[in-house]
Amino acid sequence: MSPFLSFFNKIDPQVETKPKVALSEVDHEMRLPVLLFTISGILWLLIGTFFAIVASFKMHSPELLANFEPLTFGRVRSAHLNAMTYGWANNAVFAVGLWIMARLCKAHIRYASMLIIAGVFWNIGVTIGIIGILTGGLTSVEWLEMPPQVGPLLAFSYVLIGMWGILMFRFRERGHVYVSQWYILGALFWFPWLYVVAITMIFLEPARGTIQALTNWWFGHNVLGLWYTPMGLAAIYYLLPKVLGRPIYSYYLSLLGFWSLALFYNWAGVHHLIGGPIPVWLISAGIVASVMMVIPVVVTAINHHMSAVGNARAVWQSPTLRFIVFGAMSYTLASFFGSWMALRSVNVVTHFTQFTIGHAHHGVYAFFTMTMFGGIYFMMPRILEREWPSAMLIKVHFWCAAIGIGMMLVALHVGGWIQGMDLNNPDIPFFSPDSSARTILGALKPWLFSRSISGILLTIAHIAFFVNFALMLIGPRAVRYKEGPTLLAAERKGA
Amino acid sequence: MKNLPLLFFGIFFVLAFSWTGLILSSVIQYGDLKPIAMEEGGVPQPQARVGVAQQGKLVYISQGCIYCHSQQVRRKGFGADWERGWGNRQSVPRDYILQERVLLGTSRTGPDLMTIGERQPSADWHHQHLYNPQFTSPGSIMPPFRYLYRTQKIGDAPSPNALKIPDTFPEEKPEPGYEIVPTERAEQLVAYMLSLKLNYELPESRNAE
Amino acid sequence: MFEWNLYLMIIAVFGGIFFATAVAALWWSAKHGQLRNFEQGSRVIFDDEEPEGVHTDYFPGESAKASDKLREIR
Repeated sequence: MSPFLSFFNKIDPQVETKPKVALSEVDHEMRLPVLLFTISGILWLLIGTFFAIVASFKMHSPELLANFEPLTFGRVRSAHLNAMTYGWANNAVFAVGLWIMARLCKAHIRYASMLIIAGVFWNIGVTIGIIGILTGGLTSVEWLEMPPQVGPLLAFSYVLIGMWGILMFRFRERGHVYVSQWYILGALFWFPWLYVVAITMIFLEPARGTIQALTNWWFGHNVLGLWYTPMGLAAIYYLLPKVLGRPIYSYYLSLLGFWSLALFYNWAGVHHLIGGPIPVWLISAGIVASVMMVIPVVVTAINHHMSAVGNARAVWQSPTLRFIVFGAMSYTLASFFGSWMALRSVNVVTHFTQFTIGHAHHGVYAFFTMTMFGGIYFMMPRILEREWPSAMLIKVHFWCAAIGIGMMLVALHVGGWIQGMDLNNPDIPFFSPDSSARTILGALKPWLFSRSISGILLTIAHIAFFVNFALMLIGPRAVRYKEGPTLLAAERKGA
Repeated sequence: MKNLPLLFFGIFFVLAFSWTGLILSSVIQYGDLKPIAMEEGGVPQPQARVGVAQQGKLVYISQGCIYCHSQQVRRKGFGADWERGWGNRQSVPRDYILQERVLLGTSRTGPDLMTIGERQPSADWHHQHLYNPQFTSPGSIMPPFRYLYRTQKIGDAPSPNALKIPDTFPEEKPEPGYEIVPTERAEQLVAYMLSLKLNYELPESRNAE
Repeated sequence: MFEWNLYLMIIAVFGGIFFATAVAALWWSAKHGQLRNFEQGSRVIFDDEEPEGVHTDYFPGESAKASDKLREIR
């Protein structure tokens, strides 16, 4: 073997006889970092929800809070996006993704303090960033709205987290690498690269002209495609078979799914620039890649479906799987929509409209966030050795989230489609003094309003989640071992 | 899979591949575009935006206007950009080369602004529209930017740049003896709006026709 | 335009290298037994505490009831 290859082989632990590390030991050792990330994630979720509601209501009632500059629409929607992305979603990824990684490595946790430091600095960075957005440091670069000055802080925290993940992997128990680990490892490599390149080419050493826009969407789309999606899929690939107690349907398919996703997804971002002032061949490449995304999606969908099929009741009786299966189904649907939207004939309608906003929520909320909810429902009892205090609140959370996001998707997709058709018809003006005239905004407003209603449902869901989580954390000790944490109950009864 | 070179190389390669293909290749292909004059001795276009208009762009950025207004004209026949009068030629990469922050935008909740300086050359209109969009555009859902204006006591004579509030909005009128004037930021933003023009040709600007 | 063809060639070369690497990687992995016992790998997520064949998640307070129900169906 060449020295080049053996360098990488070293990362695979050599034969050592170590005592086996039990999953509960891993859980116990991960308690502090996981708690830190989960708590901050959930707090960001609430903050982001608040910004979302303000932004959503402002869209149909522009006079709302209009004279308070920090909450002007452009800033508050950016604060919403960044609080959700870098606050909620990333903290959730750090908690759930790293925990799954640790469990699959089956090794004692080392350097947990790295994670604590990283977590503290990450959240400080995001807080400064959000305040920066609201007070005028908004950059107007989509997905990178935080003032570039926080970039180094976030990058530093991130590097610690990424390094920890790779160290964890390095010291894992010898044996097979599970598919979730590929996804997590990939994501841990990809995200910092994307982030650093984007920050550099847009802010520090701005690229010329519309190359910035290309970089922007290469980053923006890949945050979803090469960071949240792999992490979400890693969680699904781990938790679905785990909860059902039977292995994933086809391991070959999961390999194919991983590589085709990795190959196609990162070319797809250009479809945000269809019709724009960039070379046409790039756009065509982006469209081709977007359509090719059908392969990993179908493969993954078949795999998930075949794993869960015949277990509907088990899915329904597990809070985790309710959310996870909802997420997995949304992933399939959202991805098909994404491929379809990349076609020029469709894109000419949906581009520039609320349809895109709907699609973003389809991916980030209906797929990713729901999956992370499921992950947290599975993870917390094991981390805290406590039950969730209230089954009722979990159900409220699930139903409000599911109905809320469903309603939002319908509102934004239908409203966005109408908006797009109207935009392409030059006879329809944006607005008109004649209130009975057909106008773009007049036709769009009812849909924006129903989006706000769906936002209220989501708010209820998030509050239910938060209350349940807070009770679990600080509730009386009686909650502990009432019936035992979910996993122990099953084990003790030998079910 | 037990050994990992394949995994690591693969992970590295796929992103390197797309970065090379999408970004590096663009830098090579058009990263050194320069302003160009259509005829010998003409003014090379596009020109850099300077002064108050450039400061106005920073206001535009910090207010997040981009989230509802794009700055790009698509080719004729792709969407209704031409028919709506947003431009009579498509915008091309060279149009953007001198901008240190490119604001193409991905949302058109409001109209495209690539040529707003040509379509709406009146500063008064822009000030009225910014102060309360309903003055000029009834039915608009654009937020009002009143905080970019201030109310002051009228001095010896009314300020020349005092806002003309339409009589149909009596509740927006300042108290007698007071007037509403733009702050510096509002003046800058309007200067930026007026500077947004696509009134020159480039060698490639008619390629798609 | 000549330039365009040049860029297409460069891309084709890069694409060719990429494709060749992928094929080589696949060949290497097959030769070195990376794909042997492949499906077995999907079982590494189970251990003594959370063994295969056992459901591990229920609504709080409902695990006994729920697992009974699931057993009836089997």
